[in-house]
Amino acid sequence: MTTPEAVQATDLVELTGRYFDLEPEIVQDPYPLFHRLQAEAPVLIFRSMATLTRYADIEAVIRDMETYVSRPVGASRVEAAAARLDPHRAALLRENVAFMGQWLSVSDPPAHTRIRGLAHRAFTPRHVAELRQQVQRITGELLDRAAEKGRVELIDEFAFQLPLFVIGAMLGAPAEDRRLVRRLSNALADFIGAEYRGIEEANQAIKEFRSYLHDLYEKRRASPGPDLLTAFMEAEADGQRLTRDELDATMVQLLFAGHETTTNLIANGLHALLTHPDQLARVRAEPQLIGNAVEEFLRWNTSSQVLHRSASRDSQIAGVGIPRGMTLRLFLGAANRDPERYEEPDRFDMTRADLKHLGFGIGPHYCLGQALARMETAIAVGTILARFPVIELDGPARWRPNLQLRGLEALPLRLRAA
Amino acid sequence: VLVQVTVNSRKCMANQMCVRTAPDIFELGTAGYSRVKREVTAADLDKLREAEEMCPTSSIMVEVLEEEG
Repeated sequence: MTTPEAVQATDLVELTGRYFDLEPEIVQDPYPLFHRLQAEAPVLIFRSMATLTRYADIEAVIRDMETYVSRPVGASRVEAAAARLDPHRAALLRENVAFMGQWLSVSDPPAHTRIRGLAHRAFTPRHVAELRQQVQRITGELLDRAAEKGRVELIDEFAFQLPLFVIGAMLGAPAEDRRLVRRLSNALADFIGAEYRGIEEANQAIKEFRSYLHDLYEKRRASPGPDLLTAFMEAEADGQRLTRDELDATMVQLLFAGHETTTNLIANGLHALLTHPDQLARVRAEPQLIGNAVEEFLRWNTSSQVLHRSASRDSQIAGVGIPRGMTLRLFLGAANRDPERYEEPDRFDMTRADLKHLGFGIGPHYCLGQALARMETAIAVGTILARFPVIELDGPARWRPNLQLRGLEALPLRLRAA
Repeated sequence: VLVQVTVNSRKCMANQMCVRTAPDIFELGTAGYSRVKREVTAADLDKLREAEEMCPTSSIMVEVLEEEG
């Protein structure tokens, strides 16, 4: 059992190891562990990594992009993992990491600046606002089916479909391919979020993803449009702004990150409301609070929990030496519950005076899709509440064993329409 | 015309698209958030509009005030 009392009594390093190994009981509620780390070992050196949990330390690391880079440096956590594998699987692991190493989230300037510049314009608040009607329409259609049945498994039948439909449309991926993209994304999610488990499955998923993308490129080449994929393909074609590998990697990241995290944000948010009846009543009575509610969803159960950085030189954080080459594991989900930063951090309260958080990071890597994620979540949750005066949990909601992506295995609901 | 630009540092997340778009106008201040570093004029308007558009958190506001007479 990991009641808060049990957390107090257990050795902190052992407990952290059990969380990194995704012991189900700790996955259900990692926050008592985070609070102990914040109080007793805010910079914990463990398994060749520095694990950080305090808001101020994490913000400082993210902002110092010269000392703490996004790419691996020297003997990284990747090589530490590869050393424990047979040569074949070690090669696959390196292949996976090399491909994902071209993702925007783990690239450094100047490549990051160049690729972010290509993608950024499609995700500005003004562009995102133009998608509102489309998001509202898809939300309505998906909820029609749920209303007929009077029940819904929110994640499978709604929360993954909506964001995937939208990012798919931006990138030229047809709606009927949603299941395929979801399946491949899940393989990547397991690999990333469970300390490189499922190496073969992730390698296969990357191959399938790339072959799928090449079909999309062929179709788009025949009929260019005003979409983001066409802009990327033009950048790749001129040979200066985007390589083919970068194009593939960026597309995979946008399809994957473009829905997985928002899926969880929607479901985590609705789950938070259903388990806090006072907050649910408040936002039902004052629907204009939905924007505040989304910020509190992002803080309270941050859907993208972890960032990694590598030390490019020797440094110190809170008096602890960080040698060059060490990986830093930054728990955004802990920072967002830091008692030094928030009053009563574990209380879910959309009426907090200060709703700023690190749920989307900060600085040049600040989440590319944040405006879209916020808009989709506000419309999705707002529409569900407006349409169904009665919403009840219809079974247990368990957290998925994943360090990176905090989301529920399933969220079964009973619904009564107005 | 008079041109005014303001940065809302409560919303700013230091993405620095403004600094990249118009490095002669915006900089990261000591608190770590974007700020305007000089007087702006009508000649800056295109760059200011671009910075306003590219800001991910809508923290930049550009206002154009017509002068009387």
